[in-house]
Formats: sequence, structure tokens, C-alpha cells
Amino acid sequence: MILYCVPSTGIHGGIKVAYQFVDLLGRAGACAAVATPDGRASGWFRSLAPVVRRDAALARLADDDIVMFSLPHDYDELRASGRRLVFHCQGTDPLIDPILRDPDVLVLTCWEEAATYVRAVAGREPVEVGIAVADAFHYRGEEKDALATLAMPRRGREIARGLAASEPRLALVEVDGLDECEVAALMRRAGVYLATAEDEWFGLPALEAMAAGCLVFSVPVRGGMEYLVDGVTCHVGSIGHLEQQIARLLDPAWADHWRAMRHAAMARALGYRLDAQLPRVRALVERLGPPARRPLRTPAATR
Amino acid sequence: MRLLVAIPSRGLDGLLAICLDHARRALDSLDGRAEGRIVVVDNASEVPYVAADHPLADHLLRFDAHRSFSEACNAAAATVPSDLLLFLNNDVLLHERALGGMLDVLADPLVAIVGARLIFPEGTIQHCGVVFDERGPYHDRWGERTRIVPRIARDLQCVTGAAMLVRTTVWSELGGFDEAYPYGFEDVDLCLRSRQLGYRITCAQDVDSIHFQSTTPGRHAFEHASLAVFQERWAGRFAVDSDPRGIRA
Repeated sequence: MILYCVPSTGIHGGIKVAYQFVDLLGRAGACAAVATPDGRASGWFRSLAPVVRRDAALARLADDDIVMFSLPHDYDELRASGRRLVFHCQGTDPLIDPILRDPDVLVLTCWEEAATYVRAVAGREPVEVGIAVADAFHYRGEEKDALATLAMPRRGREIARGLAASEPRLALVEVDGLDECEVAALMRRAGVYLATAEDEWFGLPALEAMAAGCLVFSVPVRGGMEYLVDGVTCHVGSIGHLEQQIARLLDPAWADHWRAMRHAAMARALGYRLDAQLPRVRALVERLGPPARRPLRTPAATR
Repeated sequence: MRLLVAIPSRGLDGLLAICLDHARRALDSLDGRAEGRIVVVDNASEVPYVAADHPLADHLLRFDAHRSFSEACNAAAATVPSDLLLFLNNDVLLHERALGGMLDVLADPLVAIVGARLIFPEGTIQHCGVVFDERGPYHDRWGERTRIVPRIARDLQCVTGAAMLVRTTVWSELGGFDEAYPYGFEDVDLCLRSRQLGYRITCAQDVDSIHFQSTTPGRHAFEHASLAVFQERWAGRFAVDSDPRGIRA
């Protein structure tokens, strides 16, 4: 059994990635569940993952069952449980450094910069399992409003407003508190996405927007540079650089550039489909061995 | 492999006889893959069933006072030893090849529960899997023409107890249907509990069986009480895997 511990049901990318990973583990033939502190499930994205209460499930694990986590704050408690730990590295906050240096913890990485970070900090080779964009985000031929411009305001709200103002015809929509399907539907109909979280560890929304056929304008980030290729799949750079590009958005002379960029972005995002990630997850399940394919013991069996 | 078919039933003698006929033919078509025995639970029919009227049933249990669907199924499951349990409503007419398709899916040892694709007599989907939105479970593709609904088996959180094949080992591990449910949602509860242990659930989609749905008199009287039990136990504790607005993930 693989128990993936998450801290809450809140709207945070890491939570969604955890459920998505448990779904993939199931498709790869593993027995896996999400464990939350109170047994409640997140409802803001689509998933098939079973959800269990963390303390009760931990108590029922066999010695060689597997506990996954991605929040560094969980490390001490989970290590004390004595189970096999797997760290799903979704960011590169220095708080994770002790985990990366623990030889008893298997480290998985979602993206290239994280793998590089693991090698630099701990001198070890992580298991690269990749990351995926939910199918809902991939463009399906909807009519797009070229002026509709989306941004997620929790980080970089003023940057988004400033960038949108550099082309007054753009209509900025600040996206927050919506469920995944609603966000995906908006992205598939919008023309532009502004990624404004500076130094983001890993900005999944920019990749989702690329899948949805948006033109992406991104401030520099730490993670995600493998798909954010300036001038090819998006524009990424300083505010001034982005303003300069946005000013050309509606210039007919640049229409071919934008069309080519949109297509390149969608093509790049296709490499991040769930089906594309599945072989890596299958290999992980193989590596984890029989305990990954063994159901959780029932209380009766535990006795 | 020993397959026990459990059919709780109340009244509707004629329908039960046709249900038994279809179930027996589905068992016979397995060509030795499983040895089937059929248990009918007479759940306080006004006129008790007579064994001679239902020769296709191997066992006949009788409750003089009406009990819940869960109690009837649990009693049937305990009648004779089995490896697999098929719970079948008396208004389901199994397609001859339905059981074979369900057994095929069980080749994966982690699949613990398999549902059947069920249609209404007019050819629309009654059941091809149960999905969940924020409010709770509902039948996926309900009422759509069966010919336009894909026949690809996929993982599900739940299938209907109207025609549900369960590994007896997992059934025993879970303690059977929870008898706190008066009538309804005990199947959803069982499925969710089995998935929490890591087991998989799917629905065999290759053939259509007929389900008239909710034909037992008085059945709806208990649904609200069952829903209340379900909400108390599971509200907010299941993943959301579909969207009734049609924005499918």
C-alpha cells in the first residue's frame, strides 16, 4: 500500500499534484490512497483517488508499506512512523534539504530543475517521475477570445495589472477560488495567460495555459524553464521585455509569430499528458516492489 | 471457482422467475469457469415463495419480517461457501454473456468489485458506472442511448449493487454490506470502503443487461434514511471524479 500524505484540502497546486499522482499510481497497478488529517477529500479538481484519515491509515500500515509526502513539514512525523518514505519533490525550498540528504528516503522529482537541485544538495540521483497537465486543460477547438487575459492574482497581482495595461484592449480576468474544470474552461477560451509569480518553484498553471492554447507571458521562474522557452513556446523575461511583446499582440504584422507560438506551446504541453507520464510511474511501481501492490490491512487483519 | 448468486426479492414472483432464468443461463454459459449456486432471499413477501415455483434457485431463505437490503444480502452470502458473490436485483435480466465479461475483468487480482452494464428496456443506460460530483454519487451517462456510450472498461469509485460481483475474501474483510443502511447506498459504501484498502473497481461493458430499476413495492420509503446514513459517513470524504455540467476532466 502506498499512502500519500497531504496536509489539507485547500486550493494549492501541490495538493492537486498529489491526487493526480495517486490516480496514476492506481493506473500503474499500485494500491494507493491519499491520506488527509481528517479524512476529508479535496473537491476542486477531478480525481479517482480514495481518501483515508491519516492517523488511522498510518496505524494500519505494514512495516514495508510506503508513505509518500511532498510537504517538508511532514518529514519528522512520518520518519517517526518507521515506514518506507518516498519524498515527491515538487519544489526546491531549502527546507527540503535534510530530506534529500536522508539516505532512507527515496526522492522523486517532477521536473528538471528539481532533479538538478537534488544532485547539487545531496549528491544523489533522484527518480524522475515527471508531472502532467489534467486532460481538461488541453485545447479542444473552442472559439477563443484573443483579448481575454487570465492571471492568478495570489502572487503578482500588480504585475498582472501592469502588464495587461500595456495593451489597453486586453480584458484582464483574475482567476481565483474556482475549481479545476472552471479554470480549464476559461483557459481554453482565453487568448492570453500572464504568469506573474516571481521565483515560482514550479508554475503548473503556465503549462496548463499552454495546453489550453493561451499565449503565455511569464516572469522568470525557478522551475518550469524546460517548457518556458522565450520566443518559442511563450515569452519569459523581465517586465519590460514582456510589455514590449504584449504591445505587439494585436499588430497584424506579428500574427504569424503568435500563431506559431500558440501551436508550439500546445505541442510542448502534449508531452505532459497523463498518458505520457504513466510509463515513468509504472517504472516507479516496479521499483517499489510487491508492497506497492498489496492492499491495506483491515483492522481485523491487523489484529 | 464457486460463484454464489444472491437475489433478495419481495413479491414480484413472475419477474423473479424470469430473472432466475436469465441468471441460470448466464451461469451455464460460463462453461465450467465457475460453479454457480443461486440463493433467493424472500424478504417478507406477502405470499411466501414456494421452492417448487422457483426450481432454478438452489436455496431459498425466508424472512417473515421485512429486513434491509444489506441484511438480506449478508444472509444470502453466508448460506454456502463461495469464492465470488454476485448480488443481483430481481428486476435485472442478465445478458447470457454478462457474467463471462465480469469474470474476465477479475483476472486482475486487485479488482475486487465488478459491475455490469445495465440498460432500461428502451435501450438507454441505467448503469455503466457510478461517478461523484461534490454532492455525491450518481449514475454516469444515465438515460443516454447505449449505442453512443463507449464500451471501454475503466476504473470507477463505485458500481451499483443491482448487479455486483465481489470477491468473497474482500467481502469478508469488509464485513459485507453495512446493515445501518435501510435500503440504498449500502453498495456505494461497500465500494468506497474497498477502495480505501487499495482495491480496484470497474464495470464490464461488453454487453447490455436489462434493469427495470426500483420495481420492489415500498422501496423508496427507505431511501431518505439511507441517504442520511451515507451523508453522515461520507460527505466530503470522496474524490470528485465527474462534473454534471458536462465539463469533463
